[in-house]
Amino acid sequence: MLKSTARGSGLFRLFATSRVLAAPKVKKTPEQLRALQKRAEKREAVAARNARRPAVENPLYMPVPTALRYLRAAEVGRPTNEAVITLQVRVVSRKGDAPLQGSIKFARPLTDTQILVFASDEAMQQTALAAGARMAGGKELVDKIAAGEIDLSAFDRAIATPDMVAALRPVARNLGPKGLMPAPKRGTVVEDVTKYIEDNISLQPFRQRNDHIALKIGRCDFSDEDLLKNVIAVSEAVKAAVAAAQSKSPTILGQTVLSTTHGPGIVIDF
Amino acid sequence: MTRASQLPKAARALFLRDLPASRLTRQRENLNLIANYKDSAYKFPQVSKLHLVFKSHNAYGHMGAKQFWKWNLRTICFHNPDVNIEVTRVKCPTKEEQLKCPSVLKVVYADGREKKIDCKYKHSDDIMKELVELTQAVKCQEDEIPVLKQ
Repeated sequence: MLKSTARGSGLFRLFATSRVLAAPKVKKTPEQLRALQKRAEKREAVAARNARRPAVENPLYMPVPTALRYLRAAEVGRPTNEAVITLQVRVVSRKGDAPLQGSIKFARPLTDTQILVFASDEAMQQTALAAGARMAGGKELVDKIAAGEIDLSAFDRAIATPDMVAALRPVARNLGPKGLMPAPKRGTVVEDVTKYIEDNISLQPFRQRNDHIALKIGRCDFSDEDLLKNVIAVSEAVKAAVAAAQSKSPTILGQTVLSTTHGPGIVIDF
Repeated sequence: MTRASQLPKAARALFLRDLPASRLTRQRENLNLIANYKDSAYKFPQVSKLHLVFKSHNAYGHMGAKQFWKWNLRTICFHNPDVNIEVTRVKCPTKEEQLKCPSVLKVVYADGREKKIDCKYKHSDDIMKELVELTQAVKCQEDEIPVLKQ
């Protein structure tokens, strides 16, 4: 033990008087680095091979209606707003590829999309609110966000009129990490705010995080038919996102798990 | 990460203690328990609704109702998807309220009749037995109960 800690610094280090963290880091030799890289590559290859296997081979595979029977039983007696059904898709892609993202049009959405509108014109704010926006405002709204008075996690999308884009720069660090920063490239800087809201209010955005796409698709009190349609809607949207992804290596979708708040995870076809 | 299989049995989480250590077998066991908890796979052709009321705190005889909800009711729901099952957990902050709070299982029949089972100071197995006798439930056939093979 003493040998290894004293190696880097050339000094004798006492446990009683110096912290372990203060010890110099042991540098990895080129052979060790190569071995680590090899192991990471192997892990990726195994993940890709597992992802290519059909879902039916998984020991926990079930058809969706059977899975729903188990999940509803696991959620018995829970309040309806608590018993939420979720779907999780494993995405196997190279490190550094852009994360998959897109939007889903659900047959029966859980909630309407919560849209945040930035517009300097007062009349436009009112029409936006009437069309179904959760919140609309101009400069004073930007100031409130900068002060941290508004809970941004309540919103799924944010749009802005072109004249507001410059005014949004101070809050880019607040909006950006939540995916709420309006940008012309993403089509969220629009002249006709009302039309955008009408087109997008039942669309649910999704985004890949940590090699997974995970989202709520319904509640336990939805009918089997509605839930199946929602699963199909997710499947179509995610496959469209995979097709649109611009990466050198192919992106593969791995096992898909249906689960609930208190229930088990069950592998389904996707 | 310490795996469950590496821990001594006594050190494992209480709700996992009787389940297998491996993730896959544990999941199978869990699914099998949903479909077939002991003496709970019954069909209730005469019943339209079950309503269980008990306290959110276990003291003063409310443990049986909670265990009944946790284990037996899942299996009942699995085999009777058409029966409306409701659970109300009452929050009682003071001791007087706790002593006063009832622990009952209300049974509503298809023809509108209502009956009650008092669950206070009863074991969940006894509540299940009483429910089966009261409603003349039919035991599920073996081929109706799905079993995931280990």
